[in-house]
Amino acid sequence: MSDEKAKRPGLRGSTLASGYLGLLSTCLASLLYFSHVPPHQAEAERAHARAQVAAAGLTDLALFNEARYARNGALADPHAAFQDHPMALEHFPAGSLMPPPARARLD
Amino acid sequence: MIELHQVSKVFNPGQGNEYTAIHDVSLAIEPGRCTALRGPSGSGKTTLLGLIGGLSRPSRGRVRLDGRDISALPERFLTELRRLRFGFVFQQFQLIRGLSVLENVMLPAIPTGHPYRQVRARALGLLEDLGLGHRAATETQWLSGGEAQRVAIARALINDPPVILADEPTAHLDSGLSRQILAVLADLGAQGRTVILSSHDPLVFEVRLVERVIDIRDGALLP
Amino acid sequence: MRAWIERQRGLVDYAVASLRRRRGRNLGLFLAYTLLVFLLASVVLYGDALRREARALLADAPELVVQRLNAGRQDLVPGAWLDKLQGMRGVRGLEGRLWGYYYDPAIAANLTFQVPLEAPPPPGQVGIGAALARARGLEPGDVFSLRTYAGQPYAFTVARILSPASDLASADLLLLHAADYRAFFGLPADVYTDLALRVGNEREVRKVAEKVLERLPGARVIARDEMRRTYEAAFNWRQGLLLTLLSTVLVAFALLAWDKASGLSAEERREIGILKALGWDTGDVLRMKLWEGALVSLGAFLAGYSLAWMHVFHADAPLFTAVLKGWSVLYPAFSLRPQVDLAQLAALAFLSVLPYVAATLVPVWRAATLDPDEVMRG
Repeated sequence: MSDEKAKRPGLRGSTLASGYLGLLSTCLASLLYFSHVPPHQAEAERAHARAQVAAAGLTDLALFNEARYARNGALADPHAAFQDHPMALEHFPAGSLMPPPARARLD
Repeated sequence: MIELHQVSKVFNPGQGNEYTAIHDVSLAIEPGRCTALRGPSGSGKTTLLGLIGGLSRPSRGRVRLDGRDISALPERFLTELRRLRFGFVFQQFQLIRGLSVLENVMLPAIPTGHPYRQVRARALGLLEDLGLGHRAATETQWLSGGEAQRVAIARALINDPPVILADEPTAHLDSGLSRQILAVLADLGAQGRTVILSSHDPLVFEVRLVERVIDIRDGALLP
Repeated sequence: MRAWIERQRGLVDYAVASLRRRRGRNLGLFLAYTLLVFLLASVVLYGDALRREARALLADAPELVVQRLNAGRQDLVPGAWLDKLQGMRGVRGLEGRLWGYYYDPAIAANLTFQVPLEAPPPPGQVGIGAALARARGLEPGDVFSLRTYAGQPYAFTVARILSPASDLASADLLLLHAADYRAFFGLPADVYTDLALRVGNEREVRKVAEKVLERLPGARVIARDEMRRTYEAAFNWRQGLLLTLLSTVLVAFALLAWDKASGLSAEERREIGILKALGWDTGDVLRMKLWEGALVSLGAFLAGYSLAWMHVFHADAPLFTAVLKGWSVLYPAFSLRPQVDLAQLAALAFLSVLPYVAATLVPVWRAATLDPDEVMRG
């Protein structure tokens, strides 16, 4: 740094620090502010889905439909050797760590 | 006026390595003069300087500053005293590496809460006076011994203290640089500040600077 | 006040300079910290949003489901049970539900057949879930056939595709008319899969369940709340599992941070000594270090939480979906609704910022209370 540069009041550390914290908080605050869905609006958006769920008389989510104990307690089908999908080790902890085999996955 | 009354300093009291550095010292230092503590290394000069400047507390005895007993002051007040009344120039310079010369000089002013611009201007002025204006932005580890010593002096002066304490100010310098530094200290004395230094360097006692010499050996004053 | 601000600013200046001097170490800590907050916040945000969504979707589900058990297996409910439960107090609605599972070999996935309680499609026509439509490539108006349990192909016309908005509950659904259902599975006219009861007053659900059991001793009664709790438990243990895995990361980081933050180097001790000798009191040194710690940890928290928010709500959490959502061949496609939970935000901030600051302060405090005359002798 040159002598002249040093004599001009430079950027103070505290200015830098408040800029850095300010930037990050603004970033977070605006992220929260602009993507926050207020509970009543979220409820309105869900209303249609809720109506559909109610009309069908559903009691379950479609999240674990290869695991019978979670969606439909006691059912089996003629093709399955086990009540659960043979590849769905929905038991601690394998079901959570292993995805379905690639050829069986449709999404 | 700084007075020491029967002051002793014991390190590691009650332990196997107990060691008495200062032995029953009584002493009065007049303001506005330059006083030198003279003695060989290990004689207790540095410890005595620390006691005078409130860096440590005596194990026994009293230290008075302008009639006020400072040896029993709570830590906060002692610190404030150190900040405002004393400027220290340590033997090893004790500059903080990685910070610029300017930042080092401004350090003692931070707790005072004085406006940044004023402190900065004063620091630059001091550096200029000491011939270091061009080094303000340099990180202190790149300074030569003479420069580092002058930076340490500038730092000691930033809060404009009436008393300057310098521990072996010429210890790491050659004769030419030593004379320079002593001239700087002499100037401070001329400004009316109390200068107290410790040294065993004969050069210090040759120059006109020192007005009073106190001889010390094995932690006690020699008559 | 002005002096106080100047003093704090001076301390922050020093803290920044001190961070800058050890920028490699501090940048590393900042990044590791950000990553940690990101992972933790992602798991928590995702789990919370999923639970919230499930709760909201199932809010209108029937309060009670009555099943018949036969030697421990679920069995069809005879129509006579409907009569036995007629006229119970507090029951607003009573209907026999028809639903079941069907394994579709063509797409190697399980479908859920269901006869809607309200507005069923006309005979021969079906409404299908969005994931099923995707998997089989069906559009409204298409005709497709499935093989019945009797071995005959059975043709359905797609009347409509269910809105993706309810995918979370309807991805694998095939809604059909009761007559089709019975024909497809070869069921007699007078049986149901189970019974759905609607109870007017939330607080009477327990009472009604007891009365159902009195009238039908062999029945199994499932309350909606139990259902919901099961889901929450499933999400909880999934989240818990992730957090358990993360806890090793957490511990590793804590060790790292502790080591980096609390181990004062000789250099730092010397610096603290110098500052004290120059007239900084213990409080100034501590405040300066507090600022230093806060700049690293608060910054990392803000950055990590922001990243987690984007990860979960704007990128659909690619890192965690498989673990947190569950396992299906027909996967529901859904986005979670972002909702700010200040308590959760505060808890995370508290947990991430405080320990670090504490870890940095303790050793500094010890060093800062030493006598400054060490500097003279050093």
